[in-house]
Amino acid sequence: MNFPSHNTFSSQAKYPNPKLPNSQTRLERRFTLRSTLFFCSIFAITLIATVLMADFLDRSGWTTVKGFLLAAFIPLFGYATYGFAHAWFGFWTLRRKTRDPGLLVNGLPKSNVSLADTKTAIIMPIYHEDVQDVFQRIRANYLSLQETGELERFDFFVLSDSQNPDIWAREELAWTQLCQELGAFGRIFYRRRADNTGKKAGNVAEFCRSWGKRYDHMIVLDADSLLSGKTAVKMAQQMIANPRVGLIQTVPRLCNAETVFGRVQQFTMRFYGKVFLAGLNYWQQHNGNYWGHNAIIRMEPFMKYCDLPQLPGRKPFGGHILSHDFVEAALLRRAGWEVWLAPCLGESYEEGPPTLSESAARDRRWCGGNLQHTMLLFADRLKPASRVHLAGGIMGYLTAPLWLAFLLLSTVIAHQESTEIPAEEEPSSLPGLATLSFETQGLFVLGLTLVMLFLPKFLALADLCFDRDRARSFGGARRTSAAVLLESLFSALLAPILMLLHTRFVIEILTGLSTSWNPQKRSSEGIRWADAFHQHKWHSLIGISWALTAWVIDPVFFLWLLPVLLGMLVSIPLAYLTSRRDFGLQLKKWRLFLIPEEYKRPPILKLAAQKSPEHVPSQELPILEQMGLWDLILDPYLSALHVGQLSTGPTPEAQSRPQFDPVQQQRCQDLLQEGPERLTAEELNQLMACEDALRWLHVEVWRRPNSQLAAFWQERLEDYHHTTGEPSA
Amino acid sequence: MEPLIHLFPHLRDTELERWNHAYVRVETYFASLRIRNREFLRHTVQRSLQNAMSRTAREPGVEPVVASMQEAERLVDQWIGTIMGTSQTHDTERHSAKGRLAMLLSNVPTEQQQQFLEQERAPAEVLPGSSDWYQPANSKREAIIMSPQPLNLGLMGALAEVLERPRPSLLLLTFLGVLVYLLLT
Repeated sequence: MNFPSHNTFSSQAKYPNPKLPNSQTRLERRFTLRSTLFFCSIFAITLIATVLMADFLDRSGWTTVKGFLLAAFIPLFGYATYGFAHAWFGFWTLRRKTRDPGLLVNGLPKSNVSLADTKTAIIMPIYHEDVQDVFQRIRANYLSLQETGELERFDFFVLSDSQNPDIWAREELAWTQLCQELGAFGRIFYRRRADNTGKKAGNVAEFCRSWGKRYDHMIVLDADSLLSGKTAVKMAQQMIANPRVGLIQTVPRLCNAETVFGRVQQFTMRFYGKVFLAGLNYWQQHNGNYWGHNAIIRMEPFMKYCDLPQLPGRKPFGGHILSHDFVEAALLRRAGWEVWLAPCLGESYEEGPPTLSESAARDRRWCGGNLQHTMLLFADRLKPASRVHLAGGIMGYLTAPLWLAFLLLSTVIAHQESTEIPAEEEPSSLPGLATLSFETQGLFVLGLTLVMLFLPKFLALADLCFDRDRARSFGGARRTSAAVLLESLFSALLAPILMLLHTRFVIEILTGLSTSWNPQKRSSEGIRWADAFHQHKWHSLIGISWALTAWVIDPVFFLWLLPVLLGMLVSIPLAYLTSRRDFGLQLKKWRLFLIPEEYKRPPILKLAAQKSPEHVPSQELPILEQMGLWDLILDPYLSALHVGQLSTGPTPEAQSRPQFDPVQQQRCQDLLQEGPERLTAEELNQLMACEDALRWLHVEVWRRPNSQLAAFWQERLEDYHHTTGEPSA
Repeated sequence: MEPLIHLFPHLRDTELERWNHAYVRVETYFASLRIRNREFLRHTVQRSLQNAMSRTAREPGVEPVVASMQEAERLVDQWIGTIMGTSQTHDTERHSAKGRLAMLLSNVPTEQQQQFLEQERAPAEVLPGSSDWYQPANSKREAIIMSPQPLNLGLMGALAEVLERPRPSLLLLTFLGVLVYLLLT
């Protein structure tokens, strides 16, 4: 460990050693008991299904292909059972009359824990996000926290990794406007990294290295996160009341969706989430996971144990860890710190991708990160529960090629059986099932699979019957049932498309095509038919070819396969229609796919939707969306603002900034004489990071006669004359 | 734009064109400083241009636009110096940028239009050193060194060193081979 002794943390004296012997006992015993029961149930159900399936396949004569089919069936069924078990145990836990002692929130003392002498940083790493939206959310989080009266215990940090100079300029302006409006200079900070090494994890690590020592905890937010002040305070209180806890993850609820896709996803997460999360918490206890945002982290152990190693080997498995959150939770657990999931801490929100195509883009990114976790599965001294979380993430994507293989093998078997003289099926070799017909046994296996897949939905619906208020907040029991029915249909159609997409991602990643980290588009506008066609033409084509093949093999087999093929066949209209905002809003009008936040809007969402007051100085500055790099050079105030940002603080960023050397001077000349097209984005970024160059450019662009300026600057000055040079009397 | 011919009747056509260009540039510059009062703007531009013209008379080689912009900047910098209670240092550009930042943060462009560039009516609200509390990234850092804990990856660590990444073509061939084999058996 490379942790200098002079850098001891102020918090160390306040918190006991997490490895006190009495900290284990009851909690560990409860975890062992519950997880054993949980995983034994999964194992038992999977074993029964496997035996039934093997016997079913064997009854019509065993072949190699059937062996492969069974090999694909076992993990697929096991994974479905893993989901089912969460819902089942969750439903059962929620029905218990007594409070679950295994919930962190129940450990919090009844009287409020004082936050005095503690300091929490609320950090929001951003990368090429919609600037206005980001700062609007910071504003809402800030105002909500202000209402609690505990604002002075928190500082906000916007940690930018944006590389586009135009976006950088907008972020700076938005930060200044926000601080002016709220009087929050010295409370909301903005820092941009010139070099985004390690991406989000590197961004957070740089924050920890620079300011981590000044804070006891940090609350990590995503660019689209909203967290009420009350929840933020409760999170900090929980950390103080539970000194062995290293991380508390809230459940960020999806909100503000307007498209059909977004609204269905939002409803799904919100409605089914309750039983699933209760089940997850039932077995995992203090062995929780970290989902990357809307969580509070204790600084000391995080900085000590969670600096991520570079993985050996080549991409896609080697190099920087792409998906850091699961690993950080595993490392905290490995060091003996508790990690809890706290669904009870409400008013924690995020936004989901509005369309299938954007959801797929996010999956592509997550898929790379999750598959990379294979490297850590057998890492030394990881807790078994952490391995389960890692494996669960990997299986989330590996099930796609497995399912595809299962369906392909089924087609091969159907083809083989259609070309052979049908043999008489043997009676079942299982005790007690000898009289069971071949078809009945097949239907039984299918039925068992469907139970694993669909019973959780009915359990969530059944849970709703016990809570009238909750039912009302989802639009009433009848509308919720209709929504569940429609959602089941939608997810049945969506699943085969995701299967093809995820299979493609897995193959691309395994064969070394780079896993990019693109910013997620958050717009709710629909996609065009042409885009839907472009993105899903292969899925439709595969569906048509497969349907024809199945029909030729055996029309009965075609009918069996139709539910799966249907999704592929309708992939283009499905992607188009579900991306529509107007249809989504119509559903909302019909009170379908309603979530409680739409029934009764929480204050934090109201704050986020609230526009900044009109009198703020921003009206005298360029409009944020239209603002660009040239404004930082031309505008006397924005130029000063940017230079001010570059010249503050002895940060490592400041020390590594480019000097105004002859190379930079030449670039400045080129920029003025030939325009920005003359320079690369990287060169422009370096200029923007050089304080002296910026000051020189501002003076020079105003002083030079037009003959010495590129047409670009002449036009900008002309525009400036029109936009700012029309004074009123 | 102010008809320059009335201001400077002695100018020849070619010179007039250059001074017109200088006028537009200085006017745009002051407008970019958010001076909205038309009368005040005209007065300020004329003041800068008159100073510039006196200077070009002494230094004939200087371009009117350069001289005019320098005079305009001097006017602003002098005012900033007065308001902030600082004398102009040799690093004029830095001083000027700091002053403009202070003006922005103190809402001078929007809320104190009438006081802008008026030496006699300098507003008390234009706080000297406003930019001292302008700390975007919080300069109160206490750097620490973080480094990863040793992590033995076990089996996967060893495999990562030896395993080759599968080629897409090889993967496709394997898939087709398996499919053909399964169909034939």
